[in-house]
Amino acid sequence: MPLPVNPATTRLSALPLYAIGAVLSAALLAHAVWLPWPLLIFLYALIGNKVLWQWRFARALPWWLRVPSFVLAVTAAVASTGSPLSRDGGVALLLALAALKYQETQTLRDGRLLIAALLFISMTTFLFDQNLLVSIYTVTVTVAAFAAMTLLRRHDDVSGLTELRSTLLGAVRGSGRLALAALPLAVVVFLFFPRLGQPLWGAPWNSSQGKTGIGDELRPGMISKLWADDTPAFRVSFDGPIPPPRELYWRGPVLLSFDGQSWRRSPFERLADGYPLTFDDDRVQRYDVLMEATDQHWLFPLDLPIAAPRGARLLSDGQMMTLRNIVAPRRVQLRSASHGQLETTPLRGSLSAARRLPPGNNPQALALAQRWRAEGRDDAAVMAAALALFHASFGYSLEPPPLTPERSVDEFLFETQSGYCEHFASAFAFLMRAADIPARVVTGYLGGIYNGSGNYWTVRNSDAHAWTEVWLPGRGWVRVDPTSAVAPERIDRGNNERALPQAGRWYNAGWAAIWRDRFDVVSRWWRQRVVDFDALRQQQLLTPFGIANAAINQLLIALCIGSLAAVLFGAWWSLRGRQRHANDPLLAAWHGFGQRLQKRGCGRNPNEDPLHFCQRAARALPRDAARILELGKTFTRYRYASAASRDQIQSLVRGLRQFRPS
Amino acid sequence: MLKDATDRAAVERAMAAVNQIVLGKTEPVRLAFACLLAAGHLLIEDVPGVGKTTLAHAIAASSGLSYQRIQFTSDLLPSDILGVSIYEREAGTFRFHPGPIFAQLVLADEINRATPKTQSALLEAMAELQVTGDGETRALPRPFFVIATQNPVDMAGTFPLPDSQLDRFLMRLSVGYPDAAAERAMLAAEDRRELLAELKPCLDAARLIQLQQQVRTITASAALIDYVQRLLVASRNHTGVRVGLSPRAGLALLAAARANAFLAARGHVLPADVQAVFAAVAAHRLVPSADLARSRDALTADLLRQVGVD
Repeated sequence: MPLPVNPATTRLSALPLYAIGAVLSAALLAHAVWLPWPLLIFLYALIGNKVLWQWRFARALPWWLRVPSFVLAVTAAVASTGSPLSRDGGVALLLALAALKYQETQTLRDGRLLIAALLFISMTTFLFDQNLLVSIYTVTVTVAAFAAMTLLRRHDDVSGLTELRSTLLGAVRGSGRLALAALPLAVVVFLFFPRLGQPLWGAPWNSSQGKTGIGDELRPGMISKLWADDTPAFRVSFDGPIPPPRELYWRGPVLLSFDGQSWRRSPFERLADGYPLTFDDDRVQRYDVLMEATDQHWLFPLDLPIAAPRGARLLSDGQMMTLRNIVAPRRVQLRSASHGQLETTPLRGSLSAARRLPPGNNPQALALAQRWRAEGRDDAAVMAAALALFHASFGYSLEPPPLTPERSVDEFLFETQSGYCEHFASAFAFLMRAADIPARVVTGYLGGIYNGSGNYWTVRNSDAHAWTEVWLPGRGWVRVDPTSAVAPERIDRGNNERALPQAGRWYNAGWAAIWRDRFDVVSRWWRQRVVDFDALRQQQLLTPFGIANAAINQLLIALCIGSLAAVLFGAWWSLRGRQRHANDPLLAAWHGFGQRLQKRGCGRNPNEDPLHFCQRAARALPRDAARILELGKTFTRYRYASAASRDQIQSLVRGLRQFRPS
Repeated sequence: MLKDATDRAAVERAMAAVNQIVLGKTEPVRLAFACLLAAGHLLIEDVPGVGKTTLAHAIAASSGLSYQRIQFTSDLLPSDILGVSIYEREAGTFRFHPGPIFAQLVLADEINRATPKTQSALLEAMAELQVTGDGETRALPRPFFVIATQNPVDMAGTFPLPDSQLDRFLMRLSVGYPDAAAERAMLAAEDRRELLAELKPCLDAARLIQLQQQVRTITASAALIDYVQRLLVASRNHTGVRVGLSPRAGLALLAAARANAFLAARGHVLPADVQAVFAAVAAHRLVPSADLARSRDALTADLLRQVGVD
């Protein structure tokens, strides 16, 4: 039983020091994905140095090690992550300071302070990511921190592995039990603590390391960079029949202007002219899109979208964008008409921009297209000729030879003849424009992976794709995917599994795929139910109780009632082990007696003989010695010698309860 | 209850006498007498030369029991212990010559130097309190008390006693090196063996049987039995233990705790009594997990630490 001590002077033994080091390392590990690696390695070196020093010399680190490491760590943190006021800089500085504090941790007070700081630091992980795995990991670190806290008072009387294991297990079990007892309260506060409609402040986003994703420019190599990124871009669940994968063109930025090197969005966003889509109402697809955070404003509706949801707008060329960047996962409900016709009567100026080419650019390609025209072919025949050219001699390759930016189309068409979607889309659009057919490049995603366990589609960044649209009189903008002329399987499969390098990865096959799908279902649930739980959903929480739109004061009442119930439950749950004393008033009174003595620095060891305990307490508190010994002897006699009468026991219980150390 | 103060005084005198010969070992001596009073057998295990045999001799001499010593060697046969029937020409019959085991106190010195077959002969006799041979069963005298000594099992030339047979001993003690003062006194004074020869018995067989009966009547309350039971359960659930304590070990623990309470002039057993004898009674009955190099004594200490008194 712990005796009162002075935390500032009580030195920690090795075991708690190692435990704190382990928790600190674990908290640091959660930041390993973004922390600059030299800083990460340096911080781990600081922790390792402390552990080694403790193990080898069993004393504090000398000042001539601590001072330089302070200067180095703080400099490194600020230099490598930027201002301490930004998210990255702030968290990095916090981590560095925690590692430095560990350097000088010697006493009980240091230990408590550092663990309290670690509880906060482990929560900073959520500033970076809130997915299920990160959440589980962070909660684990928190429980471990509490376990380390219970170990703080342990002395090094651990001999051998079994005892170490049982000590650690006991600590983890104890803090796990605490966490479980606190769980209902956490759920109640999560549900009912009033949320703001808008965040009070945005998480400071570092654009320096923004997420990859489709942007508003297409230049060689942009999409191939995405292929390495297997993370989900968004998930879609269909309301009704699911179109075949080859039809799943997820429409992103439309690139209209070509400067001879790269395709860009038109500088003039055509909103005012309206959205000239004609479609059949009976053949509309309804679906639900759960976007991951991209820090961009693109939504990727199925080709072609019908209307923009709240908080987003739809441009006349079918691009859909949110009003604010998507910095947190976001769910939207969309409708699309895959058979729809876009802009059958041309809007003012849109076709001339779609015919424009920089003068003198890629002369060979220009000449080829003009020759086709000169041969008297119409639009359809020119398109067919271009597709036939691709089909005849071009190859689909993920690692095509590099192209000179200024003559990329010429080189691609006449020299390398090998590339992937963006090469084909770019060259095809160029040829069309050269033949005076309005054309533009559309980027987005193609296909997706169907998750059978959750009945939804996952579209990953690696599903990124680029295709072409040409404008034909009477039909409007028509989608032409030149890649399909070369690599139909890229289109047919609905995803790029066979064509891409990660096709053979273990997690795309067999049981691994099944488990990956199941995990994806869980993380989608987490995203929808936990991370996306916002003020709006909170308002609807009390609907089952007849309150349609809960006001803040109603939420507060629910919070109070729920918290009270949760605290009572937690208290009952963590105290239920002591229930057995309830029917033995003598034992309960005895324990109360022990607790009062403990406050005087003379606690009862649970495994201590009662008489021994009283003798020890009597020595420590000489003024009460006689009374303590008398109570102890009587207790021992009643409990271990002869059966005492009810009256005798009651008078002893009274005596124990009334005892107060003087 | 304490009407037998004179009897206990005799035990205390005997203990004092032994303590004068084996210096600085009051705790092992006390436990050895507790073992005697609980009518259990005693195993003393330690390295050679720390006074195992002297301790056993002193107890034998002070207790006033009829006494035989058997030096176990690797060529010792069961009949060397139990006795043998020899044909007598004058009488024309076989006559049984009882072996050294037919004594009230048998000192089995270095028991683990004999072969398992010979060890078993002794251990079976200890368990059954009788010897069966030539179709005749002969009861051993009462009280019957065996003090065995052995070297630590990892020393050369030993046959370790199997775990199942270690159970026959109520307690296993180790003597340990004497502290500096006791060792100095031992080196300076005259030969211990001469002192041993001068030792007067303080007890006798009849009195010892009576004392053993008194010990059996000492109260163990329900709360105390709960405590013993929790210890047994904890030993079976402990990660470092492969085979925990048996119900028989629980009985042995209670018996030894009663004797300890008797020596403390108490009519009832306290948790402190259980704790005092726990290592001696439980350590040799626990089988530690093979994968963990954990001493049995550390295990018993851990169990005592884990299990709350109430």
